Amino acid sequence: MLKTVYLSIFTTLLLGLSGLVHSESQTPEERGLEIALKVREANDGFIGETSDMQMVLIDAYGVETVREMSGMTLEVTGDGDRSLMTFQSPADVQGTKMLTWSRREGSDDQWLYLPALRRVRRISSSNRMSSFMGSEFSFEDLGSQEVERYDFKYLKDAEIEDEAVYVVERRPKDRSGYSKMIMYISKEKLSPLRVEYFDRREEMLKIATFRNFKQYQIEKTGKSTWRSNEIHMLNIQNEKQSLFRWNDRKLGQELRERDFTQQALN
Amino acid sequence: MQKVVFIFTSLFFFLLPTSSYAVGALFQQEVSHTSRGEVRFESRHFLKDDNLETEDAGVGLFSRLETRTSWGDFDLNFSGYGRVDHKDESRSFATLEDAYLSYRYGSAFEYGLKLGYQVFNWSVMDAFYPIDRINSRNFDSSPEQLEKMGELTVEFNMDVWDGDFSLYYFPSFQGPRLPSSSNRFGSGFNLYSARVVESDGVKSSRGADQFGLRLYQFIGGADIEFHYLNHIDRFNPIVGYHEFSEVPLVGIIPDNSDIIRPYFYRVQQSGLSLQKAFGPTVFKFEGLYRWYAESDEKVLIAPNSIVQNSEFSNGPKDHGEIAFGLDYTYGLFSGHDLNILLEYSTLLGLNRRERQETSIFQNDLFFGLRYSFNDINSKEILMTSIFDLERSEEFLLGLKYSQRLAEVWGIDLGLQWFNASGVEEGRQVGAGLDSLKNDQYFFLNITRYF
Repeated sequence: MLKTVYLSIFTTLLLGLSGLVHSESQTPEERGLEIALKVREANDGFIGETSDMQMVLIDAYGVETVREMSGMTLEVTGDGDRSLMTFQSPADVQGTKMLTWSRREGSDDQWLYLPALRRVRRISSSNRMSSFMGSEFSFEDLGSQEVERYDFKYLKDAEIEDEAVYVVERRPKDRSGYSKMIMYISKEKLSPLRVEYFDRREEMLKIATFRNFKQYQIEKTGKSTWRSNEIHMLNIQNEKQSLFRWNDRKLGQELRERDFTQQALN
Repeated sequence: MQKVVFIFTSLFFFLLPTSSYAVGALFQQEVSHTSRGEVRFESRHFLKDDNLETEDAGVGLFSRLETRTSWGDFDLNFSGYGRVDHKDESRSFATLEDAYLSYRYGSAFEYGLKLGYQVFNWSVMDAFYPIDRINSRNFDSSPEQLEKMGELTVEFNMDVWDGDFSLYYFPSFQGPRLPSSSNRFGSGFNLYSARVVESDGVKSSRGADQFGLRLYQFIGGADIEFHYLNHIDRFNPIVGYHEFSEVPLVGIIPDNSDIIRPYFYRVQQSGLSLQKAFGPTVFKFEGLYRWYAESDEKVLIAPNSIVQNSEFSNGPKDHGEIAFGLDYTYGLFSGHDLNILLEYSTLLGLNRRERQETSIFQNDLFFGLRYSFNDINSKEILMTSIFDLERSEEFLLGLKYSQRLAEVWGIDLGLQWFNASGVEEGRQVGAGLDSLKNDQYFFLNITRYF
């Protein structure tokens, strides 16, 4: 799921890179959507991905708490991806698994496996505003970011740390914890470098900064794609921060479809 | 015996990783091993019942260990737990949950075999779970979530369409753990070992051929499951005597009135479950029918065994059971969640008295609220309530607060409140929720995870 989230954000940013083909006849909305689709296209074709993930929660006093997970994502042609996240720490949730079948349209299908009860619980994916593991990331930030779920609007070209970016506004079509997101998408990497989140009162709530980019080569397709391996999320209203890191990330992995099914959870 | 079980399980825990690594090395395959465990200090205090025979307080130490070792296409899973109670020694015991070897094969790993003890959970509900009947329970654990005991199982599984199909063989019967006479959840007397009632008579052997099958499919966004079981029931024993005599002028009396046993009957169960999300709401349904083996053996029901109007039983009555509910989650802009749970359960094909004798919940409505702070310590408040729609005096209330402490510790505290009239139509009820009447208690648990 985290990978999907990242991918969505990355895709959105990547969209900005296509500014060179900007047409004067396009409306800002049409261009925004065009950039979003380019980001998605640039990030498609990864086949399968595995990684170990680490979440660092930093409170207003700088005290750090670490959460660990492992994740797998299976790319699905023509629909949203399927992802499986297994929680490794803290110890009381070790072994808990979350399976998500993302949908380009409509609600995702989502299951939670609770090892203490041996129970696979169907959960609603429409509640995306909840904090993820007590961090400054919400499920919405890390979950499915399908292009079809948002309205886009190109704002301008800009630079972030000497890197040319498209600045694109994204507004959720469905119920969301945000009124809008302003995305700074690298023209080179077709991935977001920065995302500003605005609450429902249109006040800035959080800023996500994407770091540690690495270019991955997919052997099977010969395609290369960029991935950020660290996202820093700063909540400017409560001054808390969170870091999301990917370690040992592998793309182009041939994964078994069965591992992304409800019956494989226990 | 408990000490032997505990030592055995401890040794097994210790040796498992070593042995599996040895197996992995033998087949020259990479081995991965994970383990987790917990030790929990448990304290519960009942309201006084003016009965000197029962323990109104419990102070215990609960521990659980789980390991999983994988190599190649094999997995070796182990899980077990034990409890030592300082106040009530009858609560001290250890048991297996999982101890099985699994193997998957086929070009897409579509076939699987599992051999060993397993804990199952086929239920989709939170309060009522009529389908979840395979494993025996420890009836001296929390009434909201009874602890399970592993079931010796041979399982074959294969992927079919958008789901899977499983066949099960259960070669033995292990009765549930019933509270002792000193236990507030008990019936007031100590029970001897369980007996199995088949169509050809009462048996003391633990061996019993039992079968099951289950088909799961994901259709139209819904999880749909159908199952069939032919096994020894673990929930509805007839408690009494099957060896008794008729004495002139006295009536029917047991041959040995001290030996009171639970009698479990062979039952066939067939049913289905469904769960599907509609936006923020998850709809859940379970429905089934149970029909029991007919036997000529009669059981003299305890404790009315010495009076003239003794009651006999040929076993539980055939019946149906359905439960359905909604699970609605409202996400607050603060990042907190409010989870609203609503469930209804009823028994079908039984009269009012039979329903009460068959289950604690006969025609009941459950309403629950869970408030999750979704913070770094996973603070949560859970309020539960169950109301009997047939007997307005019967209800159950629960309140629990839980949170993580310093990453590796957890605490939960709360109370359970039971209410029942105790008398209906001029007779003592003693069944259904009335069996828990006056057993209100407070609890505090502190857990160290590792």
